Amino acid sequence: MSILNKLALAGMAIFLTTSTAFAEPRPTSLLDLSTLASSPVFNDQGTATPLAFTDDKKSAVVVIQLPPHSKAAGAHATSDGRVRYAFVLAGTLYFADGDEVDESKEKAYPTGSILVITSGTKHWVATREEGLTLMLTAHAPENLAANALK
Amino acid sequence: MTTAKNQTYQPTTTLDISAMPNNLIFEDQGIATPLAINENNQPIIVMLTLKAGSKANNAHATSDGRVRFLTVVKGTLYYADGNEVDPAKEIAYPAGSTLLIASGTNHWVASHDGDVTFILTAVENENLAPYVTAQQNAAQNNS
Repeated sequence: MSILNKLALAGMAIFLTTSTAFAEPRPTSLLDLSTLASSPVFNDQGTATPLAFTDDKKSAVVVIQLPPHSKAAGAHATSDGRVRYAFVLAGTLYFADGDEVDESKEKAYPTGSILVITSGTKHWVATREEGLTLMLTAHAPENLAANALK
Repeated sequence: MTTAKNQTYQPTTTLDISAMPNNLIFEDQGIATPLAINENNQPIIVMLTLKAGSKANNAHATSDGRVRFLTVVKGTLYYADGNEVDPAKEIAYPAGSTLLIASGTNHWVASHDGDVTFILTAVENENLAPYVTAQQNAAQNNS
């Protein structure tokens, strides 16, 4: 097991560990995405709602919502060197890598799928019969757990 | 894999959780798999899977000052705040639900109907989007 793995597993004990109150406890709340500020994306077909940022104000956690039958006008790639996890939270994601949009290349990823998308890899997304909720989290490659990148 | 402009491009892949290091948790009723850590080697994303019928013996809280987004990916999570486990207080959260859990808030989780998978994402308070903080404040004022 690598040092990174050992650190991650050791840290997880702290991540999950019990303790008494740290500060004035706040009640747990259910996030209502519909009341949060969002930006139109995907040629106004969907919305992007940032939930959290990094210390240097880059987006760290974003929820993307697309209605049924959303189509990408072109392939795109990120360029910040970070790797994205894409968690399919609701609906089915249609996704493919490539420089040009080609529906015949799209694969269907149902709810619960997790994709690992590297910076610079051109890809596109689409929806078909149902809408989609996707959560993206961004990480420096060196901070990913072992085996996350094949 | 191709390389261009000094950057390595890799094809997009699906994450194979079964190939990643993990820990047994919840008295061996579940598995926790860290997906990423921060610069201080603290886990920032952990995926947890609980077997159907998993029950907490005690309430617990985190203590590192960070807020957790808990997002239910599969199944239905049963969750409640409180100092003592009381199934009557649990609320069912289906897949797609996202909870905001503050550090220091005692709570517990359970799975009744089937396996449940959820993601915990830890964020410094000051890095939350302002309207997320506002929603958290409103929830506190209404409690």
